[in-house]
Amino acid sequence: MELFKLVFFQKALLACLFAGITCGLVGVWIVIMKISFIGVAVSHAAFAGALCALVMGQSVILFSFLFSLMACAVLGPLSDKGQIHPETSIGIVFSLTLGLAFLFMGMIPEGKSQALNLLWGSILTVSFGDIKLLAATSAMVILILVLFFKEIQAVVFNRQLAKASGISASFFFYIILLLTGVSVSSTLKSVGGLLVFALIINPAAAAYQITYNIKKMYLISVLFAIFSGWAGLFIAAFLNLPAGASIVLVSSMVFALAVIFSPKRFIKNIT
Amino acid sequence: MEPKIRLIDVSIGYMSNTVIEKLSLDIAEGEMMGIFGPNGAGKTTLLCAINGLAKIVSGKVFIAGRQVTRFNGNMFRKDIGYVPQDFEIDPRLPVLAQEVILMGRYGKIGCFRYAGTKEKHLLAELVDLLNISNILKKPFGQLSGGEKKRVFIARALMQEPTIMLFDEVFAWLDSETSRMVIDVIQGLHKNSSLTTLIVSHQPSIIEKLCSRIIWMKEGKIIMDGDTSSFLQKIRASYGTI
Repeated sequence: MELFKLVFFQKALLACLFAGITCGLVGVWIVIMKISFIGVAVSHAAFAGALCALVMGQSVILFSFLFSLMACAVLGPLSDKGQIHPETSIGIVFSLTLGLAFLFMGMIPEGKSQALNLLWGSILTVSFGDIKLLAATSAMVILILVLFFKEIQAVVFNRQLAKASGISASFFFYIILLLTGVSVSSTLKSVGGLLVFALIINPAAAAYQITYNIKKMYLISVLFAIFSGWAGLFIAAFLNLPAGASIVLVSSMVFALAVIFSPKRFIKNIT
Repeated sequence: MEPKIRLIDVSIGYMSNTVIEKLSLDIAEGEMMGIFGPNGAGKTTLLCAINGLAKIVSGKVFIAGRQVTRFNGNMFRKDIGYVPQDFEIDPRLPVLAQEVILMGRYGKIGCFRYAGTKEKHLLAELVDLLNISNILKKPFGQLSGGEKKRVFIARALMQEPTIMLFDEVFAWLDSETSRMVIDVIQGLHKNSSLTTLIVSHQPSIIEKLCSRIIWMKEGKIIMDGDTSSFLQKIRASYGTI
């Protein structure tokens, strides 16, 4: 219990709380719409942006957000109406962003430790500024979800049908992509570029196994994400393991357990 | 009198394939028109041209005298009920049948507002009309093909549309449900003069419902006439209906 008295651990717990809320909510959209690959491409774009910022001596958060925004601007139209098959074009964007990330990593002028921190995450060294950013991001995601709950629900169910009933489906799809980029950018420093997407996907995918009620899915996804963060932190502290990796492994175990005990486990895939 | 729906030289293509080429068509207000033709004739594409779901390469679409464009499409779609062909749904999807029906109303309700008493009454009426009270709380992905169709019809009717587009609505329906849906469509048309377009490749159903039928083939209209002209052409082509 001495751990709770340590300021850096308190900050890490707070960071996990807000990252869990953000990733848990955004993950529901990614999982239901089955756009994980787009989300991975966006998260790697954010990572490439962060490394570009290190090369140019600029704000990591700003550049990661700008790069993820650019990825959304490319992937959104490709997903809607590309001449090339969507999977192929997303794969091209993904490999491009990954290539850029490693290019910038090679160009970083000083030691690689900052870059490696962005790769693996450094939740134990988050600052109060980082926590404020995470809190603001979760507040923004919650606000947009509350304000546009029904439109988002219709769009994640089926974009074409949402459009057919007069909803601006493309607008809300881009909002979802944008919020994915914002969520990834804000959690990059704490969870790391390689692992952040697991925190978005795993808790939501686990919640998907549990419930048919979308409001409950949001709640369960957030609880699973926060639990993964906190449990991962404790495991990392007691076993002296990397915190980011521990968090992701806990979230993977949560998903595995959800699949095993899922009330939907006997339902066949798409009929 | 101005047609309710007018298409002028409309062409639509997907990935360098032309699906509909220079098609012109007028549909009067309150008309119930059938669209018949083989697979790939462009029937669904024609419906999607009217409700703006398909991108028009050239030509113009007018609804009640106003041109439909990329920028005002949503405004028209709120008044066009669309019942799609069946498509794949993950049976584990976290959405209930009742929620799918209510989604049809969201465009009309608009942003920053929520479903209220009016929506509840509408839902109750439609549940009664389509006999779907026993499936409202079921996960949508686990409904049968016929149940999904009835839910989609209810969803489209939640919009209180002035135009209804039915795309192969009778596919997957058993004979009892087909009869019920036919009664619903005829009742709606009689009570509210709803402009109705019905795509089907079942001539027996189209000729029962529609006073005017167009026959499409390879993106073009090869026949546009009344039921008796249609029946003559069917017998000439297939020997029977």
